[in-house]
Amino acid sequence: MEAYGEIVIRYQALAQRTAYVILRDADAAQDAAQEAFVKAFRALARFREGAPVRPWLLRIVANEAINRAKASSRHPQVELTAAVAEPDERAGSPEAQALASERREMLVRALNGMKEDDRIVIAYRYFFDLTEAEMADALGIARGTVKSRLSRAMSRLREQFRD
Amino acid sequence: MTSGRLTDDELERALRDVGAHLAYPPAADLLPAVRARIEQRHAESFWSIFRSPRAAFVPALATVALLLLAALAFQPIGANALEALGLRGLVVFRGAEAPPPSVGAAILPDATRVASLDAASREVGFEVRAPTAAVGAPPDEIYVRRAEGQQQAILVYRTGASGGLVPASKVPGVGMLIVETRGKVAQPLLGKLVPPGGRIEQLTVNGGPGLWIEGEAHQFFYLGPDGNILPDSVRLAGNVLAWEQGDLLMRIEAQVDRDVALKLAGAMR
Repeated sequence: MEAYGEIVIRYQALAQRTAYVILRDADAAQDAAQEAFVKAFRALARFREGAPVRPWLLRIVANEAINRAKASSRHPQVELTAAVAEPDERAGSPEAQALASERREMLVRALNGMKEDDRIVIAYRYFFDLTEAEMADALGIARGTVKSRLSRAMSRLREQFRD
Repeated sequence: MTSGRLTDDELERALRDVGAHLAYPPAADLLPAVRARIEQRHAESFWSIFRSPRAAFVPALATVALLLLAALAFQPIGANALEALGLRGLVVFRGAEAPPPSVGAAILPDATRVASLDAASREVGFEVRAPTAAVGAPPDEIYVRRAEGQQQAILVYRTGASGGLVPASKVPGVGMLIVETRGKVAQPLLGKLVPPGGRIEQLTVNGGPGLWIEGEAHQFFYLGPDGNILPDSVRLAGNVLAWEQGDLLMRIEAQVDRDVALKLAGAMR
């Protein structure tokens, strides 16, 4: 359990963020991440030695969160929001920063309108920087399918973005 | 502004920017809650197997496998000492029943026989010890076994070769087995099921934590390299003294009483 405790400590922030992107509710995300760590512990005997931990764990977290999202009919009380960025001279002129902030908010709005499965594909790639191989493991799909899944999710994001 | 004005590269950059600015809730420390849930589930799964009327109809080996799966899923830290006990790499737990000991194939099929303790030490990468001073003779046969993540030395003492110290066991021709295992600390390598009539005692052996297991037929299992639970045929179904010695898990199996077992353990050189 001590060694597993190190895994929990190392990945708990990422696990909660992953669950949050899917559930958009801090308490629900925390609970889903906890449950995912319990399920991962029970699945340790089946973990392939030498395989990367992060995608294996994220897959369990995402499955837990997606199942909870699908089982719950209630609309999330909270939606994803972009944090208010402090003015930063390095980020360009005030106008450029305002434009970036506006684009950020529109994208977040578009993401909120998407299904959990699409949102998590985009989050894995662009929020959490998973490689294609890691995404394949985390999504439980063939590596060759990652690009098409991501491409479809991006197309749907563009549709949401236009609305 | 619409996405139609963004190229793919711009959209990707914009998404990375969103990821960097998303207002995530602060991450909570999950470890205490995760630990509590694991302990709670373990207790529930452990007892639910005994409470289930279906358990009575499940073949003994499958029942044991279920029990061991429940035990392997949980390193029994803080568990009720009467229900599950553990040493490094070993989980010992009580069961409603235990399958009869298999006689005959006393040695794992993937074990290799070697000529001496020195040869065994070279093969497994740690110093293999034997209670030669107490027994009065070296082991009759020595085997080594290297599985995924663990190394094992198995010393076999044939009946009659132990100076009368060790009586005959239920395995013809074998009086005592000594198994020395080194494996990953975080992973239970062996499980042992003890039926209700069996006695488990915690004690200190050679300065390390140990368990004395005495009574009816026991069953050892081990975690195979593919993660499957396999019955460990390296057993005599005799009394067992198991203890931690450095980074090794040691066990002596023989039809001897506790004092003789402790004397043998103390003579391991």
